Amino acid sequence: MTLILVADDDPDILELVTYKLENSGYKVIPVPDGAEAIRCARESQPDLMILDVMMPFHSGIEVTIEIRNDSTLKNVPIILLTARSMELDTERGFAAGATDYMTKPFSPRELLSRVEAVLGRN
Amino acid sequence: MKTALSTSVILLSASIISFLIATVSIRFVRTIREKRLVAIQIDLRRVLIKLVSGDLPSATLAQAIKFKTIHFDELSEAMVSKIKGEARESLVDFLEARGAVDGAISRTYRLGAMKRCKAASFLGNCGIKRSRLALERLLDNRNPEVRSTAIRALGLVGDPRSVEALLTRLDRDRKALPFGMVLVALNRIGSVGNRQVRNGLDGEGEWQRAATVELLGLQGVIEAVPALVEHLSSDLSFEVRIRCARALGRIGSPRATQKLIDSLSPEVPLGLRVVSCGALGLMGDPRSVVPIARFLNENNQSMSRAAANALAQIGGGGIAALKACVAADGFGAGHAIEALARSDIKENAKELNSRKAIV
Repeated sequence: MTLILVADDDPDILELVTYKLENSGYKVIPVPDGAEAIRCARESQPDLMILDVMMPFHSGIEVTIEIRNDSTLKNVPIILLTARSMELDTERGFAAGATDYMTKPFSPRELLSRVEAVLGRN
Repeated sequence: MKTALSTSVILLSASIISFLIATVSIRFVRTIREKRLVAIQIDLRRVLIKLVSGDLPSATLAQAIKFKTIHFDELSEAMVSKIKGEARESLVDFLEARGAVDGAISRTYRLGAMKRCKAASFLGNCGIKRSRLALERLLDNRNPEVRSTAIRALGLVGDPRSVEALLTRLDRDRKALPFGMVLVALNRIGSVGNRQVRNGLDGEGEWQRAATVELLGLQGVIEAVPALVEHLSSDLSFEVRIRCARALGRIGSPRATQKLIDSLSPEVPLGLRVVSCGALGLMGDPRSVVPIARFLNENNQSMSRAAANALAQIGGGGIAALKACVAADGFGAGHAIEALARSDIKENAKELNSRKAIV
C-alpha cells in the first residue's frame, strides 16, 4: 500500500487531508510539525510527502532540503501545501526540491488528483 | 492574649487552606472543561470533514444542522477559509442551513466592534452575496477595524455591485477607507466589476478616479486605454494624471506611446515626466528611445535616472543610447553605467536560469 506522510500544524487541514487520502486507499502518517516529519520520514520511508510550509521547528522548505540531502529519501516526491502564494515563494519551494506546489485555500479533490499525478509520474 | 493569638493563627491557616482548595478546584474544573471541549471539537471536526468530503449520510447531516452549539459554527468558520471548490460550497450550504449566515448578518447590526468584525470576516469568508448590503453599511462604521474588515469581506464576496460603494466612499473622508485596501478588494472582485470600475473614471471625486485608474492598470484593461490617454492630458487632478501614466505603462498598448512621449515635454510637471518615462520603459516601444535619450543629461537627478532605467528596459536602441552617453561622459553617464550594469545582471540571470532548465 502506498504510504504518504502529511505534515501540517493546522489540525483541520491535517485531519481533512488524512481522511481524504485514507478514503482513497492510501496509508497515511499525519504529523504536526517539521521535526516530526523528518523523523517519521527516516523511520517509515514514505512514497510521498505533503508538507505545509509554515510549521513549527522546521519549515516545509527546510524539511524538503533535509530530505533531498538524505541519501535514502532524496527521490521521495514532495508536495508543498501552503498559504504563501507569491511567485517568489513558489520559486523557493521548487528551488528547495519540491515536486509540486499547492496554495491554500485548497480543494481536497485537486490535492488528490495531484497526489495521483505525482505518484503516477514516479 | 494567648487565646486571641491562637484564634487568629487558626483563622489565617483556615483561610489559606480554603484559598488553596478553591484554586485547585477551579483549575481542576477548568482542565476538565478544556479536555471536554477538545473532545467535542475532535468529534465535530470529524463530522465536518465527512461533510466537506461528501461522505456524511443525510440523516447525520440533518442532525448536524439542528445540533445547536457554538463550537460547530466556530469550527466551520475556521474551516471555510482553508478550503475551496466543492468542499467549500458544501460547507457554506451547511452554514446557511444552520442559520449561521443570517446570524452573522444580524450581528453586523449589534453593538461592539469585535462582534461586527467577526461577523464581517465570516460573511467574507463564506462569500455570501446577500450579505453585501450589511457589509457596505459597515464601511461607514466609526471603528476603523470594522471598516477595514468590511472592505476585505466585500472583496472576498466579489459582488460587482459593491464597486461603486467602495469607490464613492474614498472621497467622502480621505482617512476613512485605506486606499490600498480598497484597491486590493476591487482587484479581488476582478474583471466582473470592470464595467462598474470604468464608470469610476467619470466620477467627481479625485480619489475615486485615482483608484479607478490604478485598478485598470493593474488589471491590464486594454479597452480603457483611450479613456486613460484622455485623462493623462486633461484630468484636473495631478494625482490622477500620474497614475494614468503608470497604468498605461502597465497595460503596454502602443496606442498610448505618443501621448506618453508628449508628456515628456518641459511644460509638463516634473513628477509626471518621470513617471511617463518609466511607463515608456515598461512598454518597450523603440519609438520612445530618441525622446527619452534627450533627458539622459538633464540636470535633475530623478529625470536623468528615470531616462537611463527606461532605456535599459527598452533594450536594443536604448542600450546603444546609454553606451553613447557613457562614451560622451556627460552629466548622466553615472546613471547610464548603473542602468547598463542592472541590464547586464538581468540578462546574465536569464541566461543562467535557461542553462539550469536545460541541465
